[in-house]
Amino acid sequence: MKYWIKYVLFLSFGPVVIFSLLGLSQNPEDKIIGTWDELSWEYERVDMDNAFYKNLNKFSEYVKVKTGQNLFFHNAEQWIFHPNGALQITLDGEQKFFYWRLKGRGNILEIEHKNGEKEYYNLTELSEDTLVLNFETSNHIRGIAKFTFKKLDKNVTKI
Amino acid sequence: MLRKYSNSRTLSDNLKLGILTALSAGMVNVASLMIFFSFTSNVTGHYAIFAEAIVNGNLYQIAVVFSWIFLFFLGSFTSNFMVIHLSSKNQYVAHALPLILEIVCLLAVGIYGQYFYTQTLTETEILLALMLFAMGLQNGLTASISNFSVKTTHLTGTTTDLGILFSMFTKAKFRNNEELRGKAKLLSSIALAYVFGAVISGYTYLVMSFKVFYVVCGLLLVVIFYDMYKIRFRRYFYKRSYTILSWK
Repeated sequence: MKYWIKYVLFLSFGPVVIFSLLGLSQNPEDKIIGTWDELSWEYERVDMDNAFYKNLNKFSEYVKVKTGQNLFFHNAEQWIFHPNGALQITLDGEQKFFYWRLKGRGNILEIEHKNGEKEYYNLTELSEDTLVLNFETSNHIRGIAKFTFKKLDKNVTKI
Repeated sequence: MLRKYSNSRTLSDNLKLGILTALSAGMVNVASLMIFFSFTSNVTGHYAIFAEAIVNGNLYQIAVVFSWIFLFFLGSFTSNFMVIHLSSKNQYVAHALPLILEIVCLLAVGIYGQYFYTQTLTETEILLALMLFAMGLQNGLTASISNFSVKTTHLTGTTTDLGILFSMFTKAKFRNNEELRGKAKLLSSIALAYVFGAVISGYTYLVMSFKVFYVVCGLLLVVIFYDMYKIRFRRYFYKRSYTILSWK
């Protein structure tokens, strides 16, 4: 086989693999659309001592309240991701609207407030029925807080 | 900077090329990190993410990250392909073409980002892919024409070599070796230029947003036109000398 044919075959192998994989998978932007119900709010402390482990649930609740004082979404019950980038959040029974976007390779969720302020979450897991978001808290409360959601409804329309 | 090839290059040629291209690589990398949350001038991290995506069975991320690594590879391939196949016709053009292609890619990112970007994931991934291709072109070119002395898009090798060189300098015979001292000077300059470019990019992005890519294109144009100017100046100088000698 001539060397240039080998090169053409080798170089076309990349695009073939890429487009095949893309064809087999679902874009995270489509996957995230739907109604998500908040299941849990956990706090994974890096240097927690054993005394805290004994009372983990109580501790998580405490941290949720303390850490969440500066977070807008700490009381959110339901997140609805609409296809046009609108995010509808039920917050203490009240409906609030934001904008959502995915960045990087689909691993960063950007949430923009109407005043232009932005919040970033690591999209740790996104499957058909589970969504896990992480965010880093401030240095004096070292650790990572984690939101876990369960999908309630896939069919959401543009608003 | 671009005219000479391999061992005919002086330390000064490599220093100029290294500093200017490291500046541009640092700027591109930080701009991409701030805008798109992903690195574009190095692929080591992408290899790790690629492996992680395989372990997790995340087909979408395998495809995206593999495409980025592939495009960086393709950029380097294209650069060296141009250098080795076109050098016999015109060495300067063969060395300038990858940079022109890089400018086209970065200009496309800047213009698209400034006027058309609607922040969808597909757009983000395509723009990142273009930047990775551009960085592959740049790294392939500088490494190819400098006999692998100048690599400016990532600093892993540079930092390793600097560590080795500085440990060698604890012995007088290496400390007094002009070639090794020159190499240390080159690598330190590349590292400093990269960091300087990254910091500048971080600040300029806050003010200029996507226009930061035009600044990078400007830097690359300096690399191209510096040699073009020198070639023209030499031709003009020789022509003039020849005319004066003919009159005599």
